[in-house]
Amino acid sequence: MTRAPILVLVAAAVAIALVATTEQASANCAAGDTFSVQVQGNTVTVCPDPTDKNAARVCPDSQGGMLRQSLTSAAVVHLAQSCGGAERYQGAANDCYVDECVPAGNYRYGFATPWQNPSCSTCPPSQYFGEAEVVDALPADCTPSLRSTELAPYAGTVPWGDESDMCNESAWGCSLGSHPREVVFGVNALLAVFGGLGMMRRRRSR
Amino acid sequence: MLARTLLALLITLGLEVPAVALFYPQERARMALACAGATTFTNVLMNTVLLRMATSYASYLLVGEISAVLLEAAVYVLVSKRHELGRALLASAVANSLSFGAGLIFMR
Repeated sequence: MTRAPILVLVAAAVAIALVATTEQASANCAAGDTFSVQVQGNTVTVCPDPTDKNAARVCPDSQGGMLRQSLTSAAVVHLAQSCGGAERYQGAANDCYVDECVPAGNYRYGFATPWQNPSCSTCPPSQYFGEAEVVDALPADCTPSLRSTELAPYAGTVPWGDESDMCNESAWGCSLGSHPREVVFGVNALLAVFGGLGMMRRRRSR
Repeated sequence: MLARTLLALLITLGLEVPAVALFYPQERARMALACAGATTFTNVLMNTVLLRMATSYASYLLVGEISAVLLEAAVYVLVSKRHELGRALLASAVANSLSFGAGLIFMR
């Protein structure tokens, strides 16, 4: 057997061993803790989507519940612990927040006490909130089925600013560190432009 | 973890190899092979060594992705017949943007 195939096999074996022994936590951290939001008419369903499914913070949340912030009026309300939604994981169903009779507008939904930052240092950041756009006008006779009282205004301030990504501490700082994906695309675009200019210059000089 | 990394690699190869080959019309097979080798190397490196060494997600992503683009471009310069840096940078940047974007969508 010649040397090259042996080297390839050895390299492949080393690669597989490295991958197989890389921190298990990384396997659970393809995405940070986030929210998936669905809008149907004037009903918004917000499903907390944690990275670690075994340590889920779902509806009803015991750490302060979920907030809804209107981007039109800036009003913030505390959602009732109205839980619903289809079965998702661990055989659990009804673990999403169901916000009924929501007027038309743009909203942010997030926990009053945000997710903790991921314990895995290289995991993507968790998100403060998920966003929803309700397009339909609210019917005058809309009556929620999962709650009997009006939603209470939230007395505190929302724990987020304008960024949905939670800033993980890093040497890159919050602004750059919170937008690494954008920076990667930006650098790639810059390299592509330089490369293209280089090609054009080479063609002209022939 | 292994299955997930292999899936990421397959998606990467499936996108980058044809993309790079498109930029080298007169030596597609050669550059496709070069891309497959270089991409596999950088992909494994990023998902093993860098994952252990990086101290944050931003570091992992920025160092890993930008290094991959530059490393792969260097390989294309060396392997291609005309050794054109501009073409190599363009091919690598476009190919990596495609696979990076796909990764963001499919690997959540």
